[in-house]
Amino acid sequence: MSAPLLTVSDLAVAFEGEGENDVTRAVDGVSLELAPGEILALVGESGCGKSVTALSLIGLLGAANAVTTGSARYGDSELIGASDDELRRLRGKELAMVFQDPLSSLNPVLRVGDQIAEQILVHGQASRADARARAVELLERVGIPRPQQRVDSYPHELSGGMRQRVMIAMALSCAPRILIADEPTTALDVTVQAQILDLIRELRAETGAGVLLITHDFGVVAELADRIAVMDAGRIVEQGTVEDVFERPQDAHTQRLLAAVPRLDGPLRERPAVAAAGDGPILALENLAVAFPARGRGLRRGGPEPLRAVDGVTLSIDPGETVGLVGESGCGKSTLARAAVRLLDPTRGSVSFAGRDITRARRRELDSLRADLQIVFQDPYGSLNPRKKARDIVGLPLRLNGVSKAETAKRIDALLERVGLERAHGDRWPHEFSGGQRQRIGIARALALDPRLVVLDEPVSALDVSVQAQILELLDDLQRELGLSYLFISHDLSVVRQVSDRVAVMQAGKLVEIAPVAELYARPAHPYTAALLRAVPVPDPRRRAA
Amino acid sequence: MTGFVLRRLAQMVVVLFAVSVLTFLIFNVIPNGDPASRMAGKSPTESQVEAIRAEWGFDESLPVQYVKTMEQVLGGSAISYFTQLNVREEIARGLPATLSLAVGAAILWMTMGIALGLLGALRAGRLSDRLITFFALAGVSLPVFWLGALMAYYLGFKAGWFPNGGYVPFTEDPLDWAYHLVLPCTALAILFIGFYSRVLRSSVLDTMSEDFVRTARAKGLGERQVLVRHVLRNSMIPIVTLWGLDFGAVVAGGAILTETVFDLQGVGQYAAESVGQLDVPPVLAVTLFGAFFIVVLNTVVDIVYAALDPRIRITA
Repeated sequence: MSAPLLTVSDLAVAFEGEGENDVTRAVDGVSLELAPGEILALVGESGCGKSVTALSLIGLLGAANAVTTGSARYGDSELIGASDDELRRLRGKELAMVFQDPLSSLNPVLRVGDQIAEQILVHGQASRADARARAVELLERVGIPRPQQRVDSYPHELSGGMRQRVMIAMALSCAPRILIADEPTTALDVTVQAQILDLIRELRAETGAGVLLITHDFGVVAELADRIAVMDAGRIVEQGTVEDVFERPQDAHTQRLLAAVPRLDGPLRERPAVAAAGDGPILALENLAVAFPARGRGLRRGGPEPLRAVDGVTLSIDPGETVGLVGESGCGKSTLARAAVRLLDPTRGSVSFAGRDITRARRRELDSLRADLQIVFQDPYGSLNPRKKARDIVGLPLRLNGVSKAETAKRIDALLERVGLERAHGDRWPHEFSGGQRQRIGIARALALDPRLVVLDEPVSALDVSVQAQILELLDDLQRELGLSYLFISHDLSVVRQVSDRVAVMQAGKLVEIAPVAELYARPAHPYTAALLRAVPVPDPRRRAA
Repeated sequence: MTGFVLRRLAQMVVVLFAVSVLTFLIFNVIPNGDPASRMAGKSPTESQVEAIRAEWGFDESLPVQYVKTMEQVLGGSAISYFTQLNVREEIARGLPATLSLAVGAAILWMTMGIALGLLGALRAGRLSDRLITFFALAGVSLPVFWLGALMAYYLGFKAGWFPNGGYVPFTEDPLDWAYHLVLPCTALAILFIGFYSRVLRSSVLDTMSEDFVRTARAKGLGERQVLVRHVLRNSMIPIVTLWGLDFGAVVAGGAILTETVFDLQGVGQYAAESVGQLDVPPVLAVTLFGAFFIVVLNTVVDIVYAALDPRIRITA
């Protein structure tokens, strides 16, 4: 192995709080090496310090109260404690970064070509006229079609995958020796993720740059990385080649993380037989469509076509059954979920709940149905009122339904315990809970009125794998005990496989396939399903895509 | 774009109609609002009042009066009930002073507001930021009639550094024109500087925490480039919104107090005097003039939005 490009030793980052001893050690003695042409994955759960590690290397922590100690040697330069000017010369030129969310990471008011050219110009790599030509070349290199035109696009005019390609083009613009990619595919759909991973692999081979890949996704690691460093609570708990760590994890934390990773090829979970369909389905959607009027009126008569978010979906869920609904972002999953519980009005088709047509149900009728029909949302941060205590959040549905105060208090305690929280937790505010705990509160709220059907809209997407596994476990237990039916929506095919009896695949507002879980994953009938399955990164380095 | 402007013009007609009807009604239902009895002098006879009423058409139904008055206002032939002077000529006479005040103050408050807002954001939490905050709040809280009067008294009358009120047309003596405008523009701008610096400060701070600012730093840009190229343009939208409303209001005679304190004889002062006398034609004319300006400026603001942020498309 050639001499390392980057040698980090004993790196520590502490955030000082208000008080004397109020110090948070986000990174606590990290040492690692990155060789030219190597992809080193820094893996860990949210808050473990992996992003802080990366940002501290190029002085981008952006917090005045951060104290960084230790050493990070790049060539002859020491990065820790280097002056702003020195770091500025290295940033973008020698060490380039790709961030997680390409939409928020690109300036919305500047053309992408100008944003790329800006970096070339600031490092004096080309004249103004040449910089634009370079930008076009780079866009072409990262696989953007019609780069001559795209160079003048604004970020919002590009798709998520294209934006991330732009970010990568920008990072490559000055031929950096080290590429730091912080969750570069987390915000992207699986098929797009696969393309971006391919691109990073190609570029590594072509430029010989070292890549520090920060991710929480073991599938991505197995696909791409040469070596892994597993982080937990600010420390590196295990470091080694991908094969070693995946096959012989030494550290308990690594073992736990790997065990929690949902896999496409693991054994299917034993599921109770769905109750005999004597009573008919609990939820039946018949040719359901939801269209949104296109925004803004055009000058021509009639205006633009309305957006058909859901376009003729027929789907039924039996009592006690879990139907998984998968599809990429923008395919209409969430709209379908909201229309199914009548938070949105369908434009066509019908919704029946327990044999009763509720398509045109009025407000009052819906209010009485809400007890039976609940929904849990994706973002456990955004969907809890920050100014209400947990017990008030959980108890609100009860209060609205006229349950007495004393009874409500009793039921809240029972609900909190049911979802694995303690009674005392009820008096806390949402911000005092972790992501997983918040999602438990959301589930407790949904269960308050003993529903028969719960629509789960990406319930675990915002959570770490280990927390994700706990929530899935909880949902499973609740289903067995209470005989619930679930409509489980997710973009993650491995998660859906783990929880569902049947799986429906959605593309551009339509269901393209629906089948029992074992069948769909083993023998996808529709080419789109097959493409989705192929794109899922397999958490097994031996089965890496060639 | 053409469609956008046409639609805005149509909206403007509706707005102006509503404004004129409301203004007209208010001044007709107001107690002691009967213009005829007030025009007739101190102790008029019933027949004198009747004669005035018939002469000026006050005996007709309100809708008819409204239409007639509006015809005169829009046609430029409306005259004041009390001074008998042509309203359009009076507004035209006051407009240069008002425009000078508005433009001068706007330049002052935009530059100072942006500069102090940026400085406050960059030094957030430090002493200089706190000082700026203090003065901004003080500026917002000081009533302009008090601040203006103090400035006119101490800097103008007592110290003699500045003229003691009044307006000199630009065409007469450009230097003297500017000299006379220093105090009124400053007095008016202080209020707005306070507002604008506060708004820009929080807007800049919001933008600074955006991911794309981190990207800009990761590209190797210096702080100044980050600020000018990436932060400022994204922070300008609330300021532009405010500017559209405030500048329109000042041009349309909204700086009533400043104009009166410094005796600028502008549109605002004219409006204030007319309202005091319940003089309907000038009040209507000034109100319509103001509403017109505000609608026009808001249209301009919407166009500027689209220029600042390509995500905003011009549709009405």
